[in-house]
Amino acid sequence: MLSFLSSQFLLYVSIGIALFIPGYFLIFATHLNKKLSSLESLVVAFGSSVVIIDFLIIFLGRSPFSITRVSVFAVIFLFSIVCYAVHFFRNKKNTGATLVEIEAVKPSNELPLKSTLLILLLIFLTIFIKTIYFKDTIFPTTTDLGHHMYWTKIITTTANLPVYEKADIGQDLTIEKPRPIADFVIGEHLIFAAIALLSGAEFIGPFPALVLFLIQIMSLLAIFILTRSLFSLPDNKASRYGEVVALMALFLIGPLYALATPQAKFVSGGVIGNTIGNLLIPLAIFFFVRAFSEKKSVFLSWGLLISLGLAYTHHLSTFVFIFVFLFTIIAFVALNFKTITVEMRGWIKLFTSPSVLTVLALGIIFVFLIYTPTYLNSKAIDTAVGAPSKSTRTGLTLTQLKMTAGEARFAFAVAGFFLLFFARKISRYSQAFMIGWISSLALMSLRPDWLFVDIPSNRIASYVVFPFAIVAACMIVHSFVLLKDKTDNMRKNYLGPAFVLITFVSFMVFVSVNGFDDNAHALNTDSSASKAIQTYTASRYLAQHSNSQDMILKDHNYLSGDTWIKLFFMRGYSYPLSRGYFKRYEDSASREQCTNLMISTPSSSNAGQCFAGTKTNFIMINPKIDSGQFDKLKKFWQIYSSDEVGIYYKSS
Amino acid sequence: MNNKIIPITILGMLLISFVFLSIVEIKQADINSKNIWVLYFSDPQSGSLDFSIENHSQNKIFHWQILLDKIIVTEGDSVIMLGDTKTITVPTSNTDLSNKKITISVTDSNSNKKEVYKNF
Repeated sequence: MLSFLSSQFLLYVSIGIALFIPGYFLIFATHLNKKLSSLESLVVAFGSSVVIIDFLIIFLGRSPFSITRVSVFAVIFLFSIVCYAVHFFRNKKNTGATLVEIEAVKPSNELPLKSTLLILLLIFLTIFIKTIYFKDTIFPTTTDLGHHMYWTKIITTTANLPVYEKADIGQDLTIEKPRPIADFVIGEHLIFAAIALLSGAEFIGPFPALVLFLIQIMSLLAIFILTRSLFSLPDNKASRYGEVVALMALFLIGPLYALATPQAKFVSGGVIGNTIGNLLIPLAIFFFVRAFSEKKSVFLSWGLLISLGLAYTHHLSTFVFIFVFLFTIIAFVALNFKTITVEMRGWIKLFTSPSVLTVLALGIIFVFLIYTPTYLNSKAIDTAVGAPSKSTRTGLTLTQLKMTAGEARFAFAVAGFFLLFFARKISRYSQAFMIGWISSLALMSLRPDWLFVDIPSNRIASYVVFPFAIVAACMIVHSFVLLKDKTDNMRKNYLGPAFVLITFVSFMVFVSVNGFDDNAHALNTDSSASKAIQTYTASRYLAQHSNSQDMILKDHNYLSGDTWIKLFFMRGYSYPLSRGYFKRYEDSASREQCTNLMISTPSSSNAGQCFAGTKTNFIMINPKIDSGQFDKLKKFWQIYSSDEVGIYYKSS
Repeated sequence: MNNKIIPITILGMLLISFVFLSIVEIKQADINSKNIWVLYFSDPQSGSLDFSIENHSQNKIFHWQILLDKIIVTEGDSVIMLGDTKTITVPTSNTDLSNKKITISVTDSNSNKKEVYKNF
């Protein structure tokens, strides 16, 4: 009990130190706290801490110091001290400010009581529904999370930045020298490494999923603050239109569709990059919209900092964000063609401000001199850009996109998208960002060939959920505003208030039923913990009874939690070898076949050559499926037996 | 309205959820609640036939047999409590094992059987 309490205490303190403190201090250093509400400060502090921790640990990894508990704590402490010093001296410099000036920068965007209670209710429902789902998935078993936690553990055990590489089986059937891989991005692992180092938390435990859960809740709040900012009327700060749309958006992405992709399923599945991307993309847009709308360079600096953090965290999210930005520029130019030259002068002024130039300079120094993200090489870029190379990359049908976005959300989003072109209760930049965000993702998902995008279409489509929810919320609220508006607008409305009210209630019932039905379908009835525990117990046994001279082959098809096996050995990313999904051996003729042959037909001569070439001498399989072929062969000994795992040793 | 109540309440709700999920995870990670047991050779790579039974089930009595090419050469019962592991030493010095298959067969009180073997 005492050890549970102390481990819990250490975990939450570590999360606080790593994921809130650096961001809060940077907010104070840049005086952003005077321009943000407390909820905005919370979300910005969290999102920026994710970015800051990445840069601090990369810097640490490139310095003569090692990445240890002490050095990570020290670097966070030093960063916070520097930020506080900047805050202190800037405050001291500004002590001559008049009372009027101080009043002018006080936040005016705090929420009233009713909205506060409504937000808390929506967040409570969201956390409750997701918690119910996670209680069956909290034990770590999922494939992606296993891979990611291997690299995270590498950071904590070597005290250095990881070298992303893997060793494949070559043409001569031997295991080649490790080669660099672009599948992983360092930002996906550094925050977990920092928390693991500070807290001492076990990797095979709840902490990775809990951190992802926290990131997801913060991303929902990021959508809330972004929506509120997007739909706050530039000429009427007192209007609550933006607040109501933001609450509706929170309803559409919080308790509704709470479990489907990219929500709880991405957390339990360990889809780290997408989950962090879904936090940083709305945050970056939040800052860019405010920077251009309010002509404030401090917001642009923050937007660029968050974007830079995104580039160090997830390649696909960065790729998507670049398209969103390009489409936004096109939309803005098309909608504001007459005033574009005046606007551009304002942009130049913003981009040449000292704070923006500082962030840009730091970004360039980091990318070119300190650490270049692994995916920034020609091979990785070639695989993402070009004509779609596989059937899964040729685009989704409209029905598939509808199912991904959620049927009800999709319906309102389509209507809301067209409404955006005629919207008056929205700034020009908000309008351009929303049109750019939705049109870029819709095109990338439906017609990737038009944009030369060669990425699995369903992965891109998972990003449509957030902008679709925002626009759907705008559409629903707008129809309600028509009902409530008793001024001139109402007289232009040909529909009776009773009819509009009934229609609105029907909309809400449709949305709620569809969203909660989606939740019901996603709920798990079974936990895979029991099977995975047997895999981990067998792995522990094998780790104790083998060394790096031995080669192990395990099966990905029928063993639960198999990607976590490598955490017991820490003998390389490709150790143990793995029999992948059968379809992959058929899809690619150039793919090595050894890992399949050595389990499926161990008596064949080809398998014999594979055993000789790879020096494989231990096989981990599910005995209910794959024991028969080994039991017949004299050279194999069954050395381990449990209900879900059998281990065979190939005697020499 | 002082909106610090929103961040504080949200973090409080998350904390409660996290503690609950951590407790759930600890229960799920407890192998002794899974009603399983495991059989393995103590030294998988050598000719040693010493084997271990790791008990995480409600069974306490395990009947084991050592078979030399399907013929039972010795057998016995072991009492193993929940969470315990028992290693049984098998002397091999007086037996010619060449070209033989030695199977260790263990059955629990519910007649569930597991086997491991070595071919010499």
